[in-house]
Amino acid sequence: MTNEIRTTRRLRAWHEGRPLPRGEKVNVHVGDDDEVLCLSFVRMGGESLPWGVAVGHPHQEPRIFTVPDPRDRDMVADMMVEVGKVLLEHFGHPSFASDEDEAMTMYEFRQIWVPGVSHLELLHSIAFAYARTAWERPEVEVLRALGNLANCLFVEAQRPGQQTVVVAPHALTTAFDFPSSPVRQAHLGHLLAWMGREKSRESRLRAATEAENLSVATTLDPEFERTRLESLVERWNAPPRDQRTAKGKRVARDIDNVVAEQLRHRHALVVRTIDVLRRDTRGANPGLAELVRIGTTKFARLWWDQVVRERSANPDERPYWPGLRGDNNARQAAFAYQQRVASSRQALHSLVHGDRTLQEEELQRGHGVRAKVVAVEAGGARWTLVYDFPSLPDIKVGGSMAIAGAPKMQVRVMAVSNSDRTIVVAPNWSAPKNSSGPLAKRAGDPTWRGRQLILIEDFPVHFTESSSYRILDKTESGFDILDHFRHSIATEIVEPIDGGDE
Amino acid sequence: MSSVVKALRTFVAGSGAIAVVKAPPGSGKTFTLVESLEAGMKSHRRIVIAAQTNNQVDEICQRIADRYPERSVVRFSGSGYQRPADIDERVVFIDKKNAIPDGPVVMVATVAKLALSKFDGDFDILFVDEAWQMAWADFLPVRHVADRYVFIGDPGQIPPTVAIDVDRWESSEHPPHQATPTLILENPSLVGLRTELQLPTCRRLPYDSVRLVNGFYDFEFDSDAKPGERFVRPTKKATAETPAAEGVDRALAAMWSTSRPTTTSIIQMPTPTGGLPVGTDIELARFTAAVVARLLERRCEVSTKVDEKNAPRPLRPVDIGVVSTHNLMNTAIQNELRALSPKFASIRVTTPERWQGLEKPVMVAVHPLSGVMSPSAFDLETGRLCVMASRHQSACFFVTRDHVSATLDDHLPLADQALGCHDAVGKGHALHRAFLEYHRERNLIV
Repeated sequence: MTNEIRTTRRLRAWHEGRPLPRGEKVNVHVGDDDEVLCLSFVRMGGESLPWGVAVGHPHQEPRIFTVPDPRDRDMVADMMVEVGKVLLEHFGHPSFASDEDEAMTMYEFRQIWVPGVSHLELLHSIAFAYARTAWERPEVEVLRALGNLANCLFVEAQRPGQQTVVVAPHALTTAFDFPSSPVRQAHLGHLLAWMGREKSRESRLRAATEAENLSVATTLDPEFERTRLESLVERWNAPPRDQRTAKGKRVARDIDNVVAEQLRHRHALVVRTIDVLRRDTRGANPGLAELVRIGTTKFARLWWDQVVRERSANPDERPYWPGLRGDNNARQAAFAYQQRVASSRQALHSLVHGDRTLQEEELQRGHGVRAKVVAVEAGGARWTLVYDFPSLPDIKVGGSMAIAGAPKMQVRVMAVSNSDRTIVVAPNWSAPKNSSGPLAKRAGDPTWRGRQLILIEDFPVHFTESSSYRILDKTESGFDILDHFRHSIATEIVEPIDGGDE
Repeated sequence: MSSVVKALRTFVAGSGAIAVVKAPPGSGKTFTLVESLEAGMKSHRRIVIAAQTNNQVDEICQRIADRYPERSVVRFSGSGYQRPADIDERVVFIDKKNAIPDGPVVMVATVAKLALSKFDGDFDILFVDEAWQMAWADFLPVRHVADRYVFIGDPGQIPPTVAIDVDRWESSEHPPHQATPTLILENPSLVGLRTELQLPTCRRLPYDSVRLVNGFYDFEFDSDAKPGERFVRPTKKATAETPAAEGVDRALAAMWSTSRPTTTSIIQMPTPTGGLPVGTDIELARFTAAVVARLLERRCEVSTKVDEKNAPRPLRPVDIGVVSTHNLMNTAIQNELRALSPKFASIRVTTPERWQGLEKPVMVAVHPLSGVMSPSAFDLETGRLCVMASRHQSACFFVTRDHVSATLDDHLPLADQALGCHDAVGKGHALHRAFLEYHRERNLIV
């Protein structure tokens, strides 16, 4: 969406005094309760690991984990072992099923919802702390597994069109246009207050402003932390520092109560978001099913397959875990980049045909035309169309376009004339495509003539996918640009590539 | 024959691994590429040339066919690609890899087409045209086409298009979204393996415009044109009745205020006190169209080369090009031009991306920061400004709202790039400032 469209819609929402539905359909997948795990964190100001974690399926009491002092890395690690077991079980890690019969034999779709971007970033901190840890402590393998899962979730969250990791405010702003500035739209409480039952714009605005006073980020409001928790933590640390004493237990419980209340607030907001989207009468975009299917495969490749390889005794099947700081391996980086470009195109391809608002946005960007078929060559080898919108489409000769609503009915652009607004295209089908509903007609059918169509630019996703695999198909290590230029004289590749880049 | 062509021919005939040729705008990139092929043909090499678009590929094929009439050229294309009607008959179109002839050959294809076919050292040398538009991630799938490479392109222009979030690779040693020649030139390990060449002369731009545009580059280049040789000059006096007409008249007067005419200027229109429109700035589009109309109304004449200095020719609508960074703005300008006169339908109005490789005697450009009140990293990237300022043979008129200078003063970049990375945004900010300062010092902002 361009800035102009976004700003115009925000102003319209302001005029109406309420959030307005964005799109003809809801373009975010909301999994079933058993597929969804809501995950919220609270951390102490200045610390990078959690003080407390709330985790649970929607509409079930979340499990709350806290520590009295998050600066104590042993206590935090003990807590994260327990959190890790819940998360790893949810994602079907073969070692963490509650019983053997329930262990997944292949990866199935799972989703986590977090209350904001800072919670997603905390996954990255968890990965940094535990994925490669050499710490000798009980259940360190749980911490490593949790670190790898957290890293893969963080990496996957950046893939366009993915539905595995949902940042709740992003989900809401994908489905609605809110009458507030983009910065404020990052606050989940603010957004949900706009969607409340108040009647007027002023009362909604008041509620939204009030909601902002309660932090939903991973950090607490500094004033709150100072007044409600600082003295408790000091008391807990005062000698004798022992949780086993009655006094220590009491202080730990007091800290837990305060942190848990904050966690429950964040968890409740996420569940409300899920309910809002489930109740939406627009329904989900049918293209989401394809994105969920693709996302399941991608995440299996990124995480599950590596977990399975980790259990293999064969040294040639060592797992490839993504780097924590990014992809330093040149080939891996280029491969991942191309994969993301393909995902971005796939996301658009999957969603645009099921939502006329997205189609309009594409037209406004110039990535398509609204046109009337004025001539159909015998046999349907060529159509001539005259377009009336946009005036200057950004389409290329040789490119591919699809009829909006019928993604399999594609045409190749043979000629474009902006001066008389005509385009000549070659349909890629001859016989009717039965899956295309009322449009299922052969390309040469004379009734196409006079028909108004929307043609949307269609990038060949599989081309990008194929060329991305071409990056990986050689034996160079890819760590160094020189690897390629000297490969013709190299007799042996000494650097293994399957150990990751950390 | 230029020293660069000689050096490149020596490279092609020899055994060097990588050659990178930096070419300023209008310096004869394709000419150099085509000329250097001779050495490959003589030494019976298998040569493949990759370009970014089908149009570029067809143009290269035609240029090779013209230059080497005794040879055929293989055009490796997609299966549905239609042979252009006007292309030389010696260009042989094939769409299957097994149809590529054995032995010495010159083949041309898009990067995308090569990436989809499996090659393993099938060719001796891969030439990449417009190489600065090729991301590293796009080079890796084609790296096995040949063992030796020639990258030729314009380092000052628009970087490879990036449509996704690339934070993950910002601090990588080989960021996959960055231009391939940039990575190769920055890699110290390749110093002994690469041959670095620079085309020395810009043939397209007027003398003073070369000085202006050179600021966008990290190497010096000369102008083929002499001072005062190229210009646009009004021949008819007419009363200015609109702000745009007045702006053009003042700009032309400023350009002719010295003994040798200058060839760029910036025409400003006021920024409304109530703020700029939310959507497309229709008023600026109307203003831009009126600037074009005024140039024709004043019956300007142009000199685009040395022969025309003393016999300039009349400026026609088809001699003018209009460029702006947004499609919606271009649409609005085109509509305004059509409303002014049906003759203006022949005026090309499009984005800098689509102007790359093209030229016109006179360009009218909407400044990329006009209407941008909080410039982002994307806005401050100077590739688009560089393309806009380097398409003209005689003169270029920038039109803009008058807030740009103040906006740049108010928005100093944070230098928040990843550790170890260049401050590209800060550099862009400084270049934008320098661009305005150049015109201010010469009283070319009206």
